[in-house]
Amino acid sequence: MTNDRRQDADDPAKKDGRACSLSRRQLLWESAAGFGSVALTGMLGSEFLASTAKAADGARANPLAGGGRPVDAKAVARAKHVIFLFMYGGPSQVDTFDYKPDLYRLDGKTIDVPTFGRQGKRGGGRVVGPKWRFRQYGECGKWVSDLFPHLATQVDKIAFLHSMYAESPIHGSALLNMNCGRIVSGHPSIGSWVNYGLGTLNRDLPGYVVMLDESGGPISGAKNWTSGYMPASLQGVQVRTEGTPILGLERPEGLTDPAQRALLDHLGRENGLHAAARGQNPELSARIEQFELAYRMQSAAPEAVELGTETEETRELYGLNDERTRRFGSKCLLARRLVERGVRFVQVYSGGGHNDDNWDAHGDLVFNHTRHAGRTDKPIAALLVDLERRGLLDETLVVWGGEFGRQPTAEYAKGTGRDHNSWGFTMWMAGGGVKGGTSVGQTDELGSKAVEDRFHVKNLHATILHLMGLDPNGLSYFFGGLDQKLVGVEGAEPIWKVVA
Amino acid sequence: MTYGISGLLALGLLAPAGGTDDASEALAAAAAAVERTCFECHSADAAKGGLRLHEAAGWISEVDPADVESSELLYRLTLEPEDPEAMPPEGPRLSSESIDAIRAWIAAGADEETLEGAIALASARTARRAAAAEAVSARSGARVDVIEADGEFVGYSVSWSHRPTPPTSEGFVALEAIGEDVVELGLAGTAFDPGWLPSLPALERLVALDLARTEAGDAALAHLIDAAPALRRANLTSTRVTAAGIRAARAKRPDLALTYFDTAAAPPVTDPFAAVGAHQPRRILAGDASKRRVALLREIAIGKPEMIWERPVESMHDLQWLGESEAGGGHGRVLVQETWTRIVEVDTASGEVLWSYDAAPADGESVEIHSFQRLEGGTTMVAESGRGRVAFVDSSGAVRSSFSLTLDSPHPHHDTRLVRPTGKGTFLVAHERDGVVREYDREGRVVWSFDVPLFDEKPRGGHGFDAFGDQVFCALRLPGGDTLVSTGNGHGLLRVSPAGEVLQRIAQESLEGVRLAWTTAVQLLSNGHVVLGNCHAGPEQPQAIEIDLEAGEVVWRFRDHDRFGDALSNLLVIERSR
Repeated sequence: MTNDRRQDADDPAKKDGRACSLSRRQLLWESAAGFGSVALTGMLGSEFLASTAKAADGARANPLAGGGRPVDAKAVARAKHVIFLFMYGGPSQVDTFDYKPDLYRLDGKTIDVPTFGRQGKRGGGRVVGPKWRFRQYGECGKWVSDLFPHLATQVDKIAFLHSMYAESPIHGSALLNMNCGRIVSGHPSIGSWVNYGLGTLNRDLPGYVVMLDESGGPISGAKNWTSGYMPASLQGVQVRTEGTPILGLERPEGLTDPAQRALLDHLGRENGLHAAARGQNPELSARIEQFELAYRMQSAAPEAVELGTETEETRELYGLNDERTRRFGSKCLLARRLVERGVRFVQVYSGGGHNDDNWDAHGDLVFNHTRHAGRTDKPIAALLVDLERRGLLDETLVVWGGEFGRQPTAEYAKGTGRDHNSWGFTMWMAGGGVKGGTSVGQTDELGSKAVEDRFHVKNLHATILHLMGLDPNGLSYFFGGLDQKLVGVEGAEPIWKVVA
Repeated sequence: MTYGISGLLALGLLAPAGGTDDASEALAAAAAAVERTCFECHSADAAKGGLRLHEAAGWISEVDPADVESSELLYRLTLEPEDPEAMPPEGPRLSSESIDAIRAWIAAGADEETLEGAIALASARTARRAAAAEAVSARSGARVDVIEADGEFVGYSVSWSHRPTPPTSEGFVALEAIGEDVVELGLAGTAFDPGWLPSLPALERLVALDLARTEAGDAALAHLIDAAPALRRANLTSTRVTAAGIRAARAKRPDLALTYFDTAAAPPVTDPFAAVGAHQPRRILAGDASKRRVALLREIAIGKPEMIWERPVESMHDLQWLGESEAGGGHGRVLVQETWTRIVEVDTASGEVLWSYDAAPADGESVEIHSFQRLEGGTTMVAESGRGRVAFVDSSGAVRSSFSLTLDSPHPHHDTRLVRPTGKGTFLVAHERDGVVREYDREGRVVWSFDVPLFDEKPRGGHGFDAFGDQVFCALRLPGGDTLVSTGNGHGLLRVSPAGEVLQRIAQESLEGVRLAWTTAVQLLSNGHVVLGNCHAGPEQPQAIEIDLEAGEVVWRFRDHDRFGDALSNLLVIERSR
């Protein structure tokens, strides 16, 4: 023992009492960067790391425990998967789920209400009354507009968040805010965080899948599913329901499986040699891992996307036989199949491209929202129904919403178009540990601004991580001299009122 | 309460009521529109510019029958909306029908009496509608709303949903007073009796119907479709409507939009293990005495099982799946062992012990149970080593009968391993110590036997790959009459003909990618494949494998050295019970 202590004293790395020359921080950093080990932090669990933090590193705070903050004992995984239905462009809350009866009679009247959209800040404007009738549905008696006659039947599974607010009323930055937690580029998206924290359940498929609208991707493009400063193996993979499911995946003609295997093995050895001297190069390890994943996906992906094996009843349920709902329905059905196969995070976009190709109703609100609600209403309802009857809803968190909402007033002198509104909008969650049939938070009587129980995008992110069994204020990734977190260094609480 | 519902109009679901063919009718409608649109600024309470439109004199002062279009009233109403002089300055404008009616009244001489009649008619009608809604609401207990769109009366919305008073047949009768103008009917979540539906009046203009979460079935739907020729939309979620009812409704009314989740027409997949494409997700019931655990696993993604139930065990060599639990969720009733002498039937959903049996050895007696099976009819067969018998236990836990085993060298730990009924009233007993499989009838007569061969090898001690012997673990009769024999430390599986001839031998190294050590329980799957336990084979090897005997290939392997260890003697693949 005396000898040991003397040796420790001689070792500069152990002077501060560490048992191991590799600090825990380094250990996490390197295991996170090393391929195949990304899941380590999540697999061990924050409680394990919290309990061993002192032994491993008495000097510094545990990144998973959030700066010495006690790990929340309630953080038990309720969901294993997330399906994020992204309504790109920003659906209008007062025309969908945020019922404002007083707004109808104000239609056409000019009122004083501060707004902030792409036209900048305004002091008031002409009210556009809600264009659809609301009805009560479900045991909970939730008011839902006639835009969603199918989805409305599922309100008892849904928790509505009526008091969301975001940091930007401009699409590009608001999308990044909703997907990556920041309005600036370069930060990992939530799907990357979830996969970083929990690892994959199926080695043959990517843990993070993104499905885009046929009209194109959202503004800011791949930044919305980037892994940022995390290893590239954690970024979202685009999967398509029509044509080639994953671009660039097929084996080149003439290359046999054994030949490809031999090639990859050789490449792997060379890359391994290269990596030996460059232990902290995440791009290299990601590259090695992506080669292998792509190889495994060559056989797994075609089976996963084969919707033809579903029963006629299921196809009808998702609206695959109706031209209007077929495309989004296929994506919802594929999302269910991917979740069934262990994919952690699936993001499905409704709307892409420009103008009325997405929910960005600046011109004709009725045309725009009728179009996009019509394409998504039945498929989303079907997804909730299908997940539930397969026993998957309990472990799958479904999230619905856009990057922001819309204003109660008109954007232009004429017409029904509404400008962006990040001061107050509605999102909802269902399944995976969420209290169904609830509505939390409120906007003012015009639906223009969140006033009661206001929830920042960060609170939504914290709720998702919490339901996945991750401590939102503990899950961190060391980059740029900071323990980076999805919810920011200031942290954020989950929305406890919707946690079952 | 009123609603702007231009969206519904835009969707073509609702249309304003009332004909405009009659001039006085049209003028009355225009007067009603003026009341809604203009009175805020131009009535007794607020007479902007001195204009009061709540009385005929106010109108007359602003019109000139000699120059109809120059009449101030008409001029202001017909200006482009952007014009600063246009009326109303904001909000919905008067409909062209209303403006036409006013124009026609001016052109006809702007008669004061005609206008007073129209104003009276309009306000009377508005009052009558409000009174009718209130009266029907009071009589029926329903919420009754007057629905307007762009200032025009559309109809009544009647709903018992979320009301303190449930619907009654008298309440249905009460709708008579407004029946022809009911455009929406809501019964969702109420306990109405579909037998009352004939009490409803004809609902000529009913557009939207909500029957969600009611007892309504096909007959109710058919009745309402006949009673409501204008019906465009029905919510039938969580009702008793069947696919036949949906088909009939569609045949009659192809344009009817129906929502019918969670009905017999959209049957719930109550089995959470429905096929994932070509893959059949599995449940697995397995036990390992070395980890002191018996557990139920459920595959949540292909090849990724999660544990949904576990129970500590002290010792075990057998288990049985008895069927799905009433609680669902993939749970079931299982027969498992707690100790060498006690077996229990447990519901994995609740953990409740439903039945138990204890061999209860007397003082000095040594008894161990190494096999048990619930038979058809509810009797439980229990093989007791030490007592050298197979006992038949009834539902009360009492031994009703038994037969004695033929034993060359009795031993309380080794008389038997598994005992399996053949389906023909006989039992195949694996005698571990004797190295023999004997088939007994219920009287204990040996009707068939098979001495497990050593294949010219010398017995070697131990449990792993290097051990060898004929310590047979399990024998299973195949439908064709052959017998499968799992040879324990013989590292293999034999297919034996009724004549005792070895037809097929799967030995230690016969299977590609798998090395067999102590082979244990055998299960025959519905696809003809065989599941075989592989104990003491170390962490690199699967603990159980599914073998396609005809192809001689392993088609599935189970390897989980975290939850289970090297003594996973029993693993059952639970197939879909349908």
